[in-house]
Amino acid sequence: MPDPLNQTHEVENHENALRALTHNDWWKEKEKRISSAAFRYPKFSVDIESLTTTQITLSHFHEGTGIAKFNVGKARHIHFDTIHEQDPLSPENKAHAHVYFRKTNSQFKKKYARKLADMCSMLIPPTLP
Amino acid sequence: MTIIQTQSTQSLIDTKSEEDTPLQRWHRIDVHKQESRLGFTGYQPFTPNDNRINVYNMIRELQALETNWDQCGAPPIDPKIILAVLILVNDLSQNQLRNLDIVPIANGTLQLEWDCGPRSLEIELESCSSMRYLKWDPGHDIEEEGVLPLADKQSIFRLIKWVLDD
Repeated sequence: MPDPLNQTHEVENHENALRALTHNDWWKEKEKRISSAAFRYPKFSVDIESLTTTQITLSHFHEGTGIAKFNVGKARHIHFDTIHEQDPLSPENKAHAHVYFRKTNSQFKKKYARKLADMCSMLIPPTLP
Repeated sequence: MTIIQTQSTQSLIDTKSEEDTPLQRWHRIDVHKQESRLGFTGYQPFTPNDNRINVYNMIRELQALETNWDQCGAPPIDPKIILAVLILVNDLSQNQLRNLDIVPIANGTLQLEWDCGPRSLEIELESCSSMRYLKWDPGHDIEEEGVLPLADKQSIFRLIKWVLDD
């Protein structure tokens, strides 16, 4: 089993990732869906669900930040690769991982972001001030 | 919600004057900060159901985003992108503004989103001159993505017509 303390390695497909939603507009209340804009990064941070709790993950962000969840394996199938690695700004967070979009030269940048957004489950909608 | 009362958007972004740049004119929409300094009077209220009111308020809020608004180091929204959205919105009819949301992207750009039943349309401004769009209706196998010049208004109108099913 990989050492979760300091190794960089692929997160296994059965794991779930917790993604902070740091802008209210990224949650579309009327449509009950997440905007693909929340995933229009070449690389973004998540926490591995089995190594944390939603409360601990949210404690790293401003009050009112939302949180959504997606399956790592399903995301990997659409080119979002989750790697367990340290956040240099929060080295104490052992659940931290980066998600890399592996198809950056693709002409279909938005399509995959939208697919990932649609496969998310909303846990706590953002209610930032 | 703050309601903006202003002249037509066209007058705000008119480029005919040699004294004001389009960006300076854009600032006139920010009534709280700019009205007094610019001595700009003559606002005319929108009609109560004018769809532009909500759209302009969305743009105002997005214009105010500061560095690190996403808590991950995102830059403020590029003022040129905001102006480009303003110009685009100005060319849209009341009907075309139905169901429109504008959301920020962490690279400092904006995305316009329309949702209408199972269909949705995303228009992401990649620059002041080009946009990337996504037509989305997976139930009908529609996942079409492409790039268009922002000046190609007829194509943009066709995309909006599709999502609104007019």
